[in-house]
Amino acid sequence: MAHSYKQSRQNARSIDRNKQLFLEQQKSSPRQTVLSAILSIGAVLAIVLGFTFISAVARTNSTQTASGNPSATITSGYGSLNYPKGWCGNAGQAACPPIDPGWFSALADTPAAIASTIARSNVFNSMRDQYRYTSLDVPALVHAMFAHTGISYYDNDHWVVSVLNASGQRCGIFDFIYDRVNHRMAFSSYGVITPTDPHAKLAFPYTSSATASSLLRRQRNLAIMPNSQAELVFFPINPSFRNLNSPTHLWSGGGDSPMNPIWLLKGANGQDYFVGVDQRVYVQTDLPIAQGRP
Amino acid sequence: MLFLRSRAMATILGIVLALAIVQFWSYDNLPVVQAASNTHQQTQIPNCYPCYSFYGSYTPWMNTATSDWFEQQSNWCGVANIRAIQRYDWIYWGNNGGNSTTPGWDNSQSAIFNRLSTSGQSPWGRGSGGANLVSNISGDFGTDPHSIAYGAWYETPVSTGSQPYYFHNWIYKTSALTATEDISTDFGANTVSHNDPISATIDGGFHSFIISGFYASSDPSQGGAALNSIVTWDPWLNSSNQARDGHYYYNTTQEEVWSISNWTTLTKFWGQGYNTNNGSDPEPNTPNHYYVPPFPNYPHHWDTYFVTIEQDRIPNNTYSYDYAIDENGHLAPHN
Repeated sequence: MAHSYKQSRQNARSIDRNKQLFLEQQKSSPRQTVLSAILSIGAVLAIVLGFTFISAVARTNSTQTASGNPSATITSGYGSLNYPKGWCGNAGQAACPPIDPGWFSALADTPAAIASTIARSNVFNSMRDQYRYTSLDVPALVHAMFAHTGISYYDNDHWVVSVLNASGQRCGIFDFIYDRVNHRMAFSSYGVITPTDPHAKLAFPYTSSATASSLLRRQRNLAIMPNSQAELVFFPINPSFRNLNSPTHLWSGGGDSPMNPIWLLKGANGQDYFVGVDQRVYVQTDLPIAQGRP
Repeated sequence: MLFLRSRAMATILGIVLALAIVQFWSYDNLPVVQAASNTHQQTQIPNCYPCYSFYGSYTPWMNTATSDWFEQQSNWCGVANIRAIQRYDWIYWGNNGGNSTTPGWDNSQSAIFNRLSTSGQSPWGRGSGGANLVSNISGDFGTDPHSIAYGAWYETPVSTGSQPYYFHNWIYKTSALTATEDISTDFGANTVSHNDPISATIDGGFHSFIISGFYASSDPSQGGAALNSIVTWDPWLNSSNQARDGHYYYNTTQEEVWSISNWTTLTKFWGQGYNTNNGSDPEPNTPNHYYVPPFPNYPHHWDTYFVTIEQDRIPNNTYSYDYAIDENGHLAPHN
């Protein structure tokens, strides 16, 4: 009997030891706890992202059902009959939000500072991937002349700069409105320069001030006024310029946009002269300036 | 039990943390998932804030579509636009189950013009005066919006359930800004047109552009996007940016991106609506007066409004290209 009691006591201690050993083995180390948590996070994220992926594909495919009556498979939406074409400003809708010109600060107005400001701007960085430019030339200031239109594009100066791709070719040209008074700039336009465009090999502006001075001398027998500098300018052009039935459309001197400016030089006789993109020298009365709204 | 409890605590903690992370996840940061038949909306994550992504036509195909530009006659901007839309749509079709990337007929600008000259008459007659095209409903000096809508429909692939090619003249009687917001919905993931380009009449009707997309804060086809700029293609210029007559009346480059501010304020674009008093772009004058103004509450058909030709969700067997649609998706007022 004592033997059986002892045996049972030994068995109980053995069970306790085994139990203890088992429990020791099942205790997780801190590393195992962290690993479990990470695995749980990963599993949940995978489930959620997978659901998102599936629902995105399903939504994208929602109008792509094939075969059958074409009209029956076209889901309604913008561009449907009796459905507003957009989300604002139409009957029963709230007004569209006002246009945000996207002004950004331009505190320093040297070409180098402006280049840096442009390179940091949202629009410049937003378009970079699409148009693959990697660097800028030196920006050029184009002054607005006869600027009393009430339209920001015409009434402010502009900074215009060509941009280069990784091969060193010009691939585009940016135009920014420059509000000098308020030290700010806003995107105006971006033109794509293609490889076959002669301007792909040139930095803007495409005619130098030295060439403009030389043309003044040759065509008008005039030097520029000492201590004066040539300026790039543009002006609000007479809208008849775009009417092919109007003689105004024959104007070839340019100056109608900041990307197509003309040079303004003060002659030694004190008069202003304009050297056009057609390499001809004009006076102010030659320019087809808009009299009313351009 | 201790085993289960220790594992369970870590697991529960992980799940809670994961759900918390998901709440802050912005789906806008994910690349857009594109079905095989809805391609070439390009999105990226640029280094900027706020950022504007491009939503629109695939540029390499646009380059092919405009490769025969500039317009071969001075009043063929509509013809050149039809050809660009045609080329682009056929390339799309051929890359998405179709058996060809080009139409099986002469699709030169002159061939297109000839078809517009001799076919496409509206059920209410043809216009008189101007270019005297059979497909015009007015005395336009070139192609009027009805003619362009007909040409776009005729020249593009036959519609199927999965790839409809329905075109209409859209007439926006609201404002330049609202009309611009409205046309922006043609670009993005949720369009029936797969980001195909559209034609927009500008400068009061003197000229028309191809619009191939927008830079926006989010997908315009979903509504609510903040638009930054509009991508335009000028048929007056060729792919070397040479002007047809050496003069740059509109764009300086064939493809030019304009700020929305400039697009809606400069009279050479949508700073003015259609101008039927400019001597070149009159109102319709068909003999059966279908679209000949005046109409109750709306004195004009095109005059002062913003006019486009767009691909849309209105089947040809419901209302054909003969019918103009307004900004509310309603038939344009008519007699």
